[in-house]
Amino acid sequence: MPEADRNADVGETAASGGATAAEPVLKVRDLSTRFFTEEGQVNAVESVSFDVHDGEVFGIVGESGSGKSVTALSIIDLVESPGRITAGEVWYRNADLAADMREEHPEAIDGEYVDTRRVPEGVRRSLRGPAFSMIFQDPMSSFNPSITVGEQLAEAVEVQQRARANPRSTRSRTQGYGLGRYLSDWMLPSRSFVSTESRDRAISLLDQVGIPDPADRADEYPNQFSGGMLQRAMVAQALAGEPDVLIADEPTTALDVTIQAQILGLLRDLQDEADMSVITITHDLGVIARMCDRVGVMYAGEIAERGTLGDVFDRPIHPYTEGLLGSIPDLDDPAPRLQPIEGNVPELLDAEMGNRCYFADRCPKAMDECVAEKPAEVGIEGSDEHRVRCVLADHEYDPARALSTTEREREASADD
Amino acid sequence: MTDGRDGRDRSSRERRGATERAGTEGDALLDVEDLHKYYFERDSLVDRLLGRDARSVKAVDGVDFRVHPGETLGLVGESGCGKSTTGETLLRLREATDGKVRFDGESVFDLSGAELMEFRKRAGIVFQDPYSSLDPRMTVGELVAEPLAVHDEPADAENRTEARRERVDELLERVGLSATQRDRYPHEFSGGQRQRVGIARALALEPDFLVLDEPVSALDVSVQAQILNLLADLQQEFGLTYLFIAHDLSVVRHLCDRVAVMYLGEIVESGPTEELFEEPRHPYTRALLESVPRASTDERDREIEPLAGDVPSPRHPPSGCRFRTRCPAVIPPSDVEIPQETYREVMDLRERLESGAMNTERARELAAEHGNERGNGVNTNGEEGRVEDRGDATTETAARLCTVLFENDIGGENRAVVTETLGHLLDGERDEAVSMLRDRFESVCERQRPVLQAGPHPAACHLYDQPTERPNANPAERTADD
Amino acid sequence: MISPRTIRNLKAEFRGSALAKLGLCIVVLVVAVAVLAPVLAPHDPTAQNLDRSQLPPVGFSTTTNSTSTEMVNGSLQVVNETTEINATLTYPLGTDSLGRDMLSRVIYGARTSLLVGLLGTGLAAVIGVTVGLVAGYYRGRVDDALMRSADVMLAFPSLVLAIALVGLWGRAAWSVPDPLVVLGITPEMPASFVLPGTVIVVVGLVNWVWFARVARGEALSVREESYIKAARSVGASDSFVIRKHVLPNSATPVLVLATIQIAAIILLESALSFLGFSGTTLSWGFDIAQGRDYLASSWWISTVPGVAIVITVIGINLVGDWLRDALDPGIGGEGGSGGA
Repeated sequence: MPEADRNADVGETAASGGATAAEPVLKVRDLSTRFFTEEGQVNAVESVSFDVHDGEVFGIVGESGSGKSVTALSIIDLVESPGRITAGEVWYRNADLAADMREEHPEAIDGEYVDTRRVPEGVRRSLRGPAFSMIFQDPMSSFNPSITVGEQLAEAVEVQQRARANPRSTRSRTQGYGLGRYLSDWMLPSRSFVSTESRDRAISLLDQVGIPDPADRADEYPNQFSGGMLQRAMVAQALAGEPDVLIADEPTTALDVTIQAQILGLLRDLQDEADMSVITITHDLGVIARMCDRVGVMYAGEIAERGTLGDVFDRPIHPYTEGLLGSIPDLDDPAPRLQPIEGNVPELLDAEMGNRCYFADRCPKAMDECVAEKPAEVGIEGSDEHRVRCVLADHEYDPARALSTTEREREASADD
Repeated sequence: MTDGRDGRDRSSRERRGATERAGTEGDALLDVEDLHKYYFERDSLVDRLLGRDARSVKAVDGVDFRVHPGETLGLVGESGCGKSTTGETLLRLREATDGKVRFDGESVFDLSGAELMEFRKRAGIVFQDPYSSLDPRMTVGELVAEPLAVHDEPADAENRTEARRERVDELLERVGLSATQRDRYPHEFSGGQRQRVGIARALALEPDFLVLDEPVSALDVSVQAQILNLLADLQQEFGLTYLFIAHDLSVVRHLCDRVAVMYLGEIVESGPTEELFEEPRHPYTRALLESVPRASTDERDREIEPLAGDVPSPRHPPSGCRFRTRCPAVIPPSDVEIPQETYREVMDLRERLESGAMNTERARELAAEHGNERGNGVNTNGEEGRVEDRGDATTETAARLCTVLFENDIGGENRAVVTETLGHLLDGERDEAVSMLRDRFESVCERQRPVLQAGPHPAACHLYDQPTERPNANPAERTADD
Repeated sequence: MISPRTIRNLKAEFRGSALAKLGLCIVVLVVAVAVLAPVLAPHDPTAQNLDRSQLPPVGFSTTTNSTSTEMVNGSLQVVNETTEINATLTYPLGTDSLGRDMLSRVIYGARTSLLVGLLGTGLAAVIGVTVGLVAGYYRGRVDDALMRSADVMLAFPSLVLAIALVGLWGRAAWSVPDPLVVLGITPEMPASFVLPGTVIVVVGLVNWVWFARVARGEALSVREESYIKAARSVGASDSFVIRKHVLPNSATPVLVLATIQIAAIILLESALSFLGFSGTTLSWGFDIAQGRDYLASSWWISTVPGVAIVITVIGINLVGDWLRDALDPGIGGEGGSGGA
């Protein structure tokens, strides 16, 4: 879809929703997540900020250990011990919720926005499903192997319905599942505890994600599904709550290319139909190019560069972005030699993360100022969206000030 | 790659073997002929006692290819297509069920004793997973030295321990690690560094030939590029011959001279890299190439037609052409005129009928569902009603079902046949429905297994030159129908 | 063979667990006692002194009613005489029915128990690990044959096997010279102690099955690792692969099992000596058996060695728990440190 059309679409839907296109559905500000491990404090996510607009696909791309998955988990508050979200705000636009919360938590409200980091945990939990839902990388381990796929979906549907009926209550998740119910389930483990309506909804969800013969497949167990089919089922599960924002964490990494093409096509169709916002997290630049309107490139827990797809892919400023693009062999136009980034991804131990650019010791364009101070994120002229955390955004590379090899080695050995 | 140890010298010395076969240009270092590897399930003592027959999984089912000295042959395919099994079987890490592998003219499966050890020295492997391919309880130095220890190398050195250590240091330095890291354990290294250790280990015995089994697919893109460059450099420097197994087509295009595409245990197409990527012939290759998302801003607007469905199970591979169940270009019989998309739908219906996914009950349900939607309820439930209704009502239901089942407009005589079939199905006569559809629509693709032609760029597809149709023309056919 | 990470885990687990500390203290104490038995024992544990038989432990006293017939004034009279026997510090844990020092016997008994425990476990481990690794590595028919025979062993009651073997070989009591006595450090102690040979073989034969099962399970998973394929690809033989790769990588659970097995074998040894199969007279089990007849009058003869067994077994099990918690990769793994 051409750029202009897409913007028009966004504008239209946003207008019908009573807001303007400029107001994103999700604003993440200075989000930081730390892991407190035996080896020390790991800064997995370091002051990350970005916006997600209505009906757009925002991509986060990065290598393993760049903090992209932890960012996603932090948004929906699923970070587990020893990890903890230590700072930041996640502003979610929802007028109803804002009105509800204004009395009790005025500090968490800003117009139509609610800072999910500052509302009680129960409220935050109730947002999982109707506001945010997530697709994980490995569909096999995301389903319980001993319950049929249909029943698991129907359960998700019921949970969402209860949450919808009483959205602010923490009890909503377990309502209607009392002691008697528990005992009867325990005595008759095979007894289904989902209603016929939920089951029908589950089947229609399976149909929606393109599973043939959904009524029959609903009665099958996860191991009877192929990887691609199971990934479709997981998409169906994520759709059960009709979320505003769908977070897809490496949705196709475990799949073969032909199946990947199916799933990407499905996600795009669903996003067009339901007009969801999608956050796609992946290491695959091809997936980003196929899915996303705007993209953030993560390195060492930070967003190194973000902007529209064109900004990042065609006019990259950050040497890391350039390096990533130079590292992948082009299928249509093979270069004789790849231009890899030397060195390895840092381990993000707090003790080793000084006040400097984290990419400097792998950077082919590192200069003296890169290790003197951490560069700030600056906007790039010519695009409203394009922002880069690199000194090159400010001035050109000057070989005279290049970080000398000895200095670079000193930096590197300091890391060891 | 023209130094003295080059495999090319050796193979020219023993110029013999496969030259009589068509399509040969020069001698191959490795010649794989009709390689089969089946796994047998339900083969334990208990299964035998219960009298259950072993079930075969045809992981590799008749694979032919050759690798010439100094070149890189890419073996591409999706997971489960048998590409890794091929690599391990030809190195005798798994026992082949059938077939021949000649390495430098000698039959690998007949080697034993010192000859086998010599083969092990000349042919090595680098594995996909740098985490599990290094023993966590050995230091990097021990790991790289292990092949030397197994072969008692270097044989002529006075101080063997010292010589070995020097060799290890040299290898570590060559793959971009430092000799001071010799005493560290694998878990102290990153994925890319571990893969370098794996490569150093594979190089320790100065091999001529390496199987690279997805060596970069577990690595991050930036590190992946480092390893690919290293592999290219090593090939140049030591005159190595590679069999590069991968699922990532862009990596294959980057590194390989020739490519063979595998699907469900068979090679469906092979050819020089440039030619195969620019002009893919087999519909599967085309679909595969189309499916890869490109990292460019035009990617969003590129129209692709992804393959539908999943890869069939290797326990029950389809008869004839294995790709026919998903093929967008499956060939209709010559006497039937039908648009390609419609034919695909007919074939899908047949597939569902034969597998039982579509049956009488399901057909009636579907018809009833859609009948009600339109508000002209037709009596389709109840056995008694059916006998009287036989005729108009059934035909009408069948006609409606036909429009429900087919997205494309199916017209004329074909429609009549399909409608009649559905009529049989609604009446509970599944077998007749199956045979009726088969009679009219049976494709050459399901009758005969296509073979690779002679020549530099063959494709095992009935769209291209195939031997004239004879029943069971291909000896491998007998294995496909159990 | 033990990686730095393993050692780190062991230390961390040790610091966090009071039970691990207690267990290690007990084990160290028992081992020290067993090694230094001739030095620590106040008396020769085999020296009999009927004058001082059945002395109670310190802090207790007993009364004996002796009934004697005496000639009093020309007629025979039955005289009931009650004597109170007081404990003496010379025999802090009392003496047995033959007047042997209980403390010395318990100290020497630790030797027998630990040696049988270690040697029996060693034997069981050697047989079991070999069988298990071979079965797991080769799978198929080999596996079927070996593991079915292991199942047969498991079905065989250990006591019956012991009786049969004792009948076959006799008790095979091996007399081992005591190094401390030979060196002349403690010349007054017995010059040798007796090791119950048949018992060691029996406990080995009974317990190898557990090792075989654990080792087989480990070998089955280790053989699927690519480093096994990598070793075979350079031409390593099966026995090389099993020794160099499968064994070291299966060692951890075997080690954990071994500690627990030592405790189990100590119990089994006690039971066998209690029943009189052991051939040594210096064993906790033997003392329990011989004290059985005096339970009413001299309870300590059975109780003291019984308490020693309980403490030792608990100590070893606590160490086993510590090892298991520290070495189990499922617990306290590397933890998620970010990223995808």
